[in-house]
Amino acid sequence: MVQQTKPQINNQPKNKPIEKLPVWLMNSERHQVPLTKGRLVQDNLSKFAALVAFLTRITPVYSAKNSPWVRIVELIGLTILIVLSSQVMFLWLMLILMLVHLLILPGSVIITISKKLCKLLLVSLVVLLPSLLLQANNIGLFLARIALIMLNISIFLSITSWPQFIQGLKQLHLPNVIILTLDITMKYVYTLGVYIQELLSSIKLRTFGQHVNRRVLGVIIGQVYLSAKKRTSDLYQAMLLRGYNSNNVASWRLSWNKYDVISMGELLLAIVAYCLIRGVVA
Amino acid sequence: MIKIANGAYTYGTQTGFHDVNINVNRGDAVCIMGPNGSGKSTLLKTIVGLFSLENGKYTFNDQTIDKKFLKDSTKTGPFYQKFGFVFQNSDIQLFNTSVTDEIAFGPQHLGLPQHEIDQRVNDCLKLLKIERLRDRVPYHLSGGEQKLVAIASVLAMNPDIVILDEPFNGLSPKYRELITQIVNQLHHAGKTIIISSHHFNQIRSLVDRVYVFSEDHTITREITADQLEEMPRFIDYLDNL
Repeated sequence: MVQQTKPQINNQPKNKPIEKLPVWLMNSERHQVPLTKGRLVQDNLSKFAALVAFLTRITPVYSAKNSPWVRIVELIGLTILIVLSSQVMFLWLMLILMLVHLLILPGSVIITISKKLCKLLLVSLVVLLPSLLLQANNIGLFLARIALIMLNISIFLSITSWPQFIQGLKQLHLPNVIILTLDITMKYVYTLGVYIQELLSSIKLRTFGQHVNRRVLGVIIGQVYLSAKKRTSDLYQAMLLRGYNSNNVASWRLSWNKYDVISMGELLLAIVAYCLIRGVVA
Repeated sequence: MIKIANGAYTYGTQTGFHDVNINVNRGDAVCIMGPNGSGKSTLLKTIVGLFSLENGKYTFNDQTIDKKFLKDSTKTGPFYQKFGFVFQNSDIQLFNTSVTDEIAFGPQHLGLPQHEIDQRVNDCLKLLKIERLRDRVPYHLSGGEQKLVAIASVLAMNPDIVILDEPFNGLSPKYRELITQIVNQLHHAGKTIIISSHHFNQIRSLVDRVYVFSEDHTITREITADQLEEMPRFIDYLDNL
């Protein structure tokens, strides 16, 4: 029923005497924030923002038309072939295949993947520097394999969201306990990511974006631990109350479409190419 | 003072808000209303500088607040000092080992002398009527008590602009009334108030203007207090949002 009484808006006089507020709160702040340089909170905030953004992404950057389980099988299959191969010819073929996959992605994603790859190769080079100095062989091959595997994983992550990955595992009939554990773990990571992000935002505002004493980090870790513990037990109790037991069986079935056939064809071709090139060289 | 023109923010592929236009002057008391998930909290976080707009323009005292500005800690110091933001989930805002330390955290980073910090802590405890919680661990407090401590810790920094995101959540009617009175007094003291709440009847006597978000993540109405007086049905609608 609609209330017909006339509302009283701003009926209180603006010059009403202030009785309770302390004097300092009625005046503008006299003190200026001491400016210091420090990006500890900001840097961590950015990292957690990226993590949370990844975990909340229900729809991937590019909606691939093949089934999630096929993508998982192709990822694992191609990764194994790349790891096993020691033939440059085969790695070139894999690179061409990855580049074809990469072409379907938006430009911004390609740039992000490229940046990640460059960073990874640089780190690998630094790690392998002693080996290079000792004139070890096949460093180039090793780096090529790393780059290809990372490219493969990056493409997979760009076209597969977390829920799709879980769906793929269910379609592959992995044990339910493993799927549930993975699923819940990622949900915890998301929840804690959001929690830490908000906590850091709060610290950033209350330190005016200036330098934060590193001791605060210890406080944050303690706080996150307590929060995680509480949320874990709350969630488990909620699951029990809703009738959860570890014997629940996933009822996902394998589905096929023409894009799945193409993906499987790619994998099959890669296997054939691997065997042929290996045989020719041998 | 605060002006957002055609502002938009997205979380990855999810829309936070879009095509938002707001204008808040010094000393205004503004309420932001709308259904759950419509973008109110995201807008408040953008105003305080936690997020930067992806489209549109945000100016604070004629200074453009964008990614570049927010990356420069020498510029953001005075900017953040203007704001006091109470988060929707107050437990997130509290991380110190006692209520006293929690309230003192902000003033300490302001560089205040110890006697002034103590004065502010005592005043805030008294103002929020939480003196009994002085030595308690914030983590062990109830949701309502945590909310009061969060508000006290923000007021201790004496911000010019007080932003409260759902301040009445988890509070008993008695404490809702207390918060309303304090916000009213802050407004009369010349502070700018921006408040997001589902309890419109609780704050309708405080606000000069209401911005209403729709489920489409954009502000569809801007109504002044005078206009609201003639719209009893709309007030009823706002209180049921």
